[in-house]
Amino acid sequence: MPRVEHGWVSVFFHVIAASALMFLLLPIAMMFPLSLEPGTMLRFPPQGVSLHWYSDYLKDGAWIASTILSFQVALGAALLATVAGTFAAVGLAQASPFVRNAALLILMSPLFLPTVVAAVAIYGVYAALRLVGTPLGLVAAHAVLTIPFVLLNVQSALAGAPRALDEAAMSLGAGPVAAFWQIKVPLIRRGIAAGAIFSFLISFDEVVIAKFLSGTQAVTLPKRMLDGIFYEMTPMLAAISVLLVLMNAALALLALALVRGARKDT
Amino acid sequence: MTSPNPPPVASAVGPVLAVRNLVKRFGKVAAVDDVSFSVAGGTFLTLLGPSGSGKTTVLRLLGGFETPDAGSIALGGADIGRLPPYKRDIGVVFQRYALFPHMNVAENVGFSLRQRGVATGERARRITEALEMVGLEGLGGRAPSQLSGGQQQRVALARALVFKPRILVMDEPLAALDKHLRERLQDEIRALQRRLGITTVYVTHDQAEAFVMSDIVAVMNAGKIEQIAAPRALYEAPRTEFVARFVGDSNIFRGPVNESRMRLADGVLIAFAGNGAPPTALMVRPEKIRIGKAGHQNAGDNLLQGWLIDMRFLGDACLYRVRAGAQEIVVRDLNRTDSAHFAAGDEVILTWPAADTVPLS
Ligand SMILES: Nc1ncnc2c1ncn2[C@@H]1O[C@H](COP(=O)(O)OP(=O)(O)O)[C@@H](O)[C@H]1O
Ligand SMILES: [Mg+2]
Repeated sequence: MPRVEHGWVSVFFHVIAASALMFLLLPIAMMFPLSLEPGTMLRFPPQGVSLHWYSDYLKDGAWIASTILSFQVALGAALLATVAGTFAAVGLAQASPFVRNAALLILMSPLFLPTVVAAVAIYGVYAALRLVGTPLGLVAAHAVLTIPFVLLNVQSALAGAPRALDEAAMSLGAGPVAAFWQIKVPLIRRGIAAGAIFSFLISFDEVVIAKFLSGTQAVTLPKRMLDGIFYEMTPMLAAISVLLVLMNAALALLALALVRGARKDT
Repeated sequence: MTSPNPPPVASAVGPVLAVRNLVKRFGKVAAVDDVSFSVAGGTFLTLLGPSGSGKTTVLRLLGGFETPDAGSIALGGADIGRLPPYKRDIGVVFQRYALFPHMNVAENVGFSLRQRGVATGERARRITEALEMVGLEGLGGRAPSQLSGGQQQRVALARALVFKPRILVMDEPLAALDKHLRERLQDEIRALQRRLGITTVYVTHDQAEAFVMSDIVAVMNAGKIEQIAAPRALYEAPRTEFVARFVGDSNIFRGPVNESRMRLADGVLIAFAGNGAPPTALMVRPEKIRIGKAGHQNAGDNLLQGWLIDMRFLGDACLYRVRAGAQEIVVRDLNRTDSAHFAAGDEVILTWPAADTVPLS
């Protein structure tokens, strides 16, 4: 932000920024009081204070199954995207500019493409491959969606692992594999970890593709919540939302700390 | 590090390193353009040349980081031109040190030994030995970022030597250091190189550095080696105008040649000692010329009359600029007790022997 000289302009900007933050955060903060409602209706202010929607959620087999599935899918997608994205970033750093730009355009396309378009397209292919309604299908689709985030994080981490270090390692007798594991990976590990966390978060929260691919068998947590909004809108949704917000915030902070640390290293 | 061991005797079985007709192009630029040289065992060879002349590219071809478009590189008789870097057994010291930032000094130095499966105890012993060799005993636990530039360069040197490579190559390893430290490390590296007897190819753009360190200097220009010779031969008998100008200071004369005389634009004849093809130019070093008062007769095959444009006092010597006919000539006169002093505008005579006039092609 440009340095603002005049006091009143500064005050003005602070008010605007604070309002925007409130506007964004207030609805999310509202989830907490809503989740404490003892009755079956979402209402504000709550009619009492109870944690029973939290325990109901933890005791509900279908909700827990969806939660476990979401963890599995997100872990699988993060693993796949991290491996593929890391190799792509490392490989492309050494490719010719033409190859690099062409490959980046393709790998980054999920960022620019409307997710619903990707979802329809993937659905068409998966229907033929009988992957609709399978966790594996979700893992693959989410991995494609999250590869750009791994790529971006690893690419910026690569600034701290210049090519001269690979060359030094090779001159000392390390083959390409040894140089990769002993030099490259340790130097970009924060970027890899940050990319993996972002992948996990994005997959865990993703709902558009999940809506298309879940079928009746592989219903992820966000998909079940989306359905819940239409069919059984109870304070349990607020309780789950609070838990999700906490997990997201914790992981996002961890990822940011990793990115910061990586920048300090270089 | 400064034990006065004699230089090792070059091996009788031929050169350790032989580069033949090496070519490397980047697009249209021939970074290395038909380069050939060989280095006898234990010799310190320096590639000297201005920035962009192809020195780094030659080293990168030796190290295996670039593949040649043509030519061969033989190490101990075997062609290594197409081997990957990790099979070449060449110690490389990079300009910017290239120490591994996530490893401490000992791990950096021991990296090559770990790749070769050297057992832990033996590894520790050799790391200690290598660090002692470069004067860094006890610093094995430090991170590279905790070391000064000079110390980092010593680590890089220890790391490149610890696995006993067949040759050592260094790309302007001292360029980032201040003058005092640079000169100290020049001496240390040279002493170490002699003690180990390791064949070395060194790169610098600094003529003084090349001269104090090297047995042989190859002067590079635009991807080619202009001349390869011992420092003294290079200085006393440069073959081309480029070498004459790049190595030391020089006065260049041009004009038509008849027998062993060149006629300058103003009709003055310059005698030179040459028996080859007629030179395109003549060169005389500033310190080979004697300067004297006009009328005062000096001995010498060549005699020019002129007047002093200006004088610069350097402490150990005076640098005179003299206008002689169409020529401007630089003379370096050592500051001896009996040296005459001149001031701008003085009439002077310059003399020097024909033997000090070097024909250039
Ligand atoms: N990777 C490269 N791509 C394109 N041109 C290069 C590359 N490396 C070197 N060159 C060119 O080759 C020539 C020689 O460069 P270099 O070997 O680095 O010279 P020096 O080390 O003597 O300064 C220069 O013109 C340089 O621009
Ligand atoms: Mg260079």
